[in-house]
Amino acid sequence: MLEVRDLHFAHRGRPALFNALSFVARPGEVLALIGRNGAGKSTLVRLINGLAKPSQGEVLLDGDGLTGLRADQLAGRVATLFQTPEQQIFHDTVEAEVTFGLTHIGLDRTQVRQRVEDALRRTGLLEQGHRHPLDLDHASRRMVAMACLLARKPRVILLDEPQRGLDARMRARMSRLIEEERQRGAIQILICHDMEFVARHADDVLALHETGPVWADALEFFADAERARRIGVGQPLAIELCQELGQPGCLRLDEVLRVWLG
Amino acid sequence: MPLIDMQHLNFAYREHAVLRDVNLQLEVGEHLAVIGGNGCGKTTFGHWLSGRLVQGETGNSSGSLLIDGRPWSAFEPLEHARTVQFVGQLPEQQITGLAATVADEVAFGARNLGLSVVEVDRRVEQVLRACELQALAQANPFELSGGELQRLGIGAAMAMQPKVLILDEPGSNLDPASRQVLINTLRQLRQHTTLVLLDVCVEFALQLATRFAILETGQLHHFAEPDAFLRAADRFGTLTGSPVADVGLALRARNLRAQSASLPTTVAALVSELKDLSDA
Repeated sequence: MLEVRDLHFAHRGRPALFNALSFVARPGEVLALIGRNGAGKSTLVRLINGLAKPSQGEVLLDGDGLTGLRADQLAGRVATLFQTPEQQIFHDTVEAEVTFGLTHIGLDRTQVRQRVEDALRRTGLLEQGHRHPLDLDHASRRMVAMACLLARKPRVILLDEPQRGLDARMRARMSRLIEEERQRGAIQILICHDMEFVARHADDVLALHETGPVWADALEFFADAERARRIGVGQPLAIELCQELGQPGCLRLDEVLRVWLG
Repeated sequence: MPLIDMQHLNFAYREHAVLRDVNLQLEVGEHLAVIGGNGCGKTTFGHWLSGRLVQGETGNSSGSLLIDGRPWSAFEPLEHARTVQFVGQLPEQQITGLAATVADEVAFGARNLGLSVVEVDRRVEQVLRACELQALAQANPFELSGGELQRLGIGAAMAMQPKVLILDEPGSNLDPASRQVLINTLRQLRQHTTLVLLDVCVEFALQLATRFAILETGQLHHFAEPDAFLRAADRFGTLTGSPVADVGLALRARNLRAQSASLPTTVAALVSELKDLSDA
């Protein structure tokens, strides 16, 4: 279980972003981190992955504190897909990029090769292994970063806008990966401005807002239209339709149509 | 004479053809949305329009592009900057790095046009308000979030009041409320500025565009009406960003709506259709 306990943080010269923030996320759970631009979503991810330090409070994984660990100690447990994949890619072939994260962690060559191949296959990059990552289009670069993350099989996966700029085909692939990782038992934190994507995957949401954070079951959170509007995220279409049609709340569009149309 | 006249443009990166026989005529004040899947060449197309790729200097190209009747190679840098601004997908690559504050960053381009201090200040104030950046006017651009940075990049381009504004995935970093604010702001440009939106998502296109196009296998397919555009986007497998239209298409796939009926584009229209279907 990932536990964020009594976290305090402020950027230099700015008002406090977090005052005693606490929440938990369990294995197999997707927690969506939502809110307006600048609300602190990416900062919270950096506090979990060790790139920023809280002034007070701690982050625990299965009871072990992550806050004081070195980057190499954290890397096997927590992996991040950043907003801009170009900032986390530095090898000159896709295959070398994915392989890099698997060296020096006690795997033999066969295991490394299998993991790399598996990650490239799942991300649709099997035919692109020899190419320079920066010669690929932006969506494929994000898949390269995702392949690196998947190959490590981390306990905690932090996804910062994974669907951003993806077309329908690539979004479907990203959705599949998130659900596969759920099945594996990973704890996933999903920063996302697309409430349809949130509705599709999130179990819980943590909404960050200047009036204070709201941590709630996703369905319960989005059922309150006024609160969703005030926080600046709006409602997913499925919930909006349920409320307009007088149906019980539901986050899945296909389910709404099935119930309404029979 | 159209403001933009692109005729039979072909372009390839080495042996990889990206644009094939692309034709486009755009008049002043038109808003064109170009939608396409990942890697289809939207950004390359935007680079051609904005003069970042210039005929005669770039290999593997043929055809012609005239702006106000002249090729980009005939434009001086200042005139070029007054004519077109391109805001790319990565907002961190958009800022100059020469401004200590958000307000300075917005003013940078406008100052370089040789405008008076009063006019620069007026534009900065207008843009900060339109892009919801007033509270961050004195912040360091390098300390902004991704969405704030994207608003800054677009705002700095708007402050230059170019004839043509090209936006590559303008809403991709923005929260839903900020996306709607930006759409409202861009809507006000309609009469003065020719707008070209490049996107994988149809959300901005449906609210802003007066013309639509889909870039598929290097060819630009033009549509005058949103309905034909949405159907084609679905056919090409590129439709994303309009859950309302998605439901309309799902109903059509189940033969629950006439093939020829227009797709719903608002929640109200969709609710009405679902109620009618249920009653029937």
